[in-house]
Amino acid sequence: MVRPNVAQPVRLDPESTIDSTLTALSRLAPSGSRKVAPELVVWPEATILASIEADGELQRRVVEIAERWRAPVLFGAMGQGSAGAHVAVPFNSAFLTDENGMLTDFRYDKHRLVPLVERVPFVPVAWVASAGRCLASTVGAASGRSGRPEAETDSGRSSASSLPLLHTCYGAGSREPIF
Amino acid sequence: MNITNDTWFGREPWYSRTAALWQHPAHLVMYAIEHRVGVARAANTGVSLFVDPRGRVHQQTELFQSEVLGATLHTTDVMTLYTRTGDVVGPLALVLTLVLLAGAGRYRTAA
Repeated sequence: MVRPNVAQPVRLDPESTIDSTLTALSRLAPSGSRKVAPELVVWPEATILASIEADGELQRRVVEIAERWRAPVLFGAMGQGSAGAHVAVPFNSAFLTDENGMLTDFRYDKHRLVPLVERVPFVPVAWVASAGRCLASTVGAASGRSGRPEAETDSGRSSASSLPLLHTCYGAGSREPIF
Repeated sequence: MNITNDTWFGREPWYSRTAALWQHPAHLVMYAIEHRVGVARAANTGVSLFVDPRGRVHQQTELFQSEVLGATLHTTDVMTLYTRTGDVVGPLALVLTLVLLAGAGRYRTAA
């Protein structure tokens, strides 16, 4: 488990959040060859406050760090989704790389959001997303899946089959497998 | 596996200095016991730790330190009563309390 320890004011600063986070992660990644590689490396929830799927340069920088572990890396970042027609919303998601640091198509979207911090109770996500994009980008976790959690794709399920149950933030009250 | 973000709590501003930094990971001990599973918690600035299926905490970190933790996470495939039934203890206790109150009320009326 890797703790980058990036303070909240830095994380919420759009100018410095990515560079500071990646610098911290790079500093903690192994620099040389390791005799025994871990089976799984875990970075925290919302480690990277940006949409990694839509940013090729960001992906490249993450791959450079992840591949140094020579193990799959599970980490939190913003996923892209939609709420209703033509309304894009960010998801508080978890992604998984392979042993070479390449992003797999596994994605888990947080589905039990913290009231007030991550969602506005009784207000539809689509309305919040269209009326308050600045809020969504600040919080970095404006929406989540409703109902049962699920991986984004079928291939994602298979790539994640070796992972244990995954909970984000304050977890879940059941032992239901999410994949 | 619990990945979490505790950066909301901590040093500044003053209202972020709460017990949440300790309360937030504490529930994982109960989660491990309830389901007899091992738990690994990865936090950014908050407490990272491992919990074994008996609820014993291992390698709990200090706050606000950058570091790497490594451990073999032990777990079980036991399906506990809690896993099968979920949160029934609370509602059951409420129902029993109401039944007892109703019974006590009838007893006093009869007496």
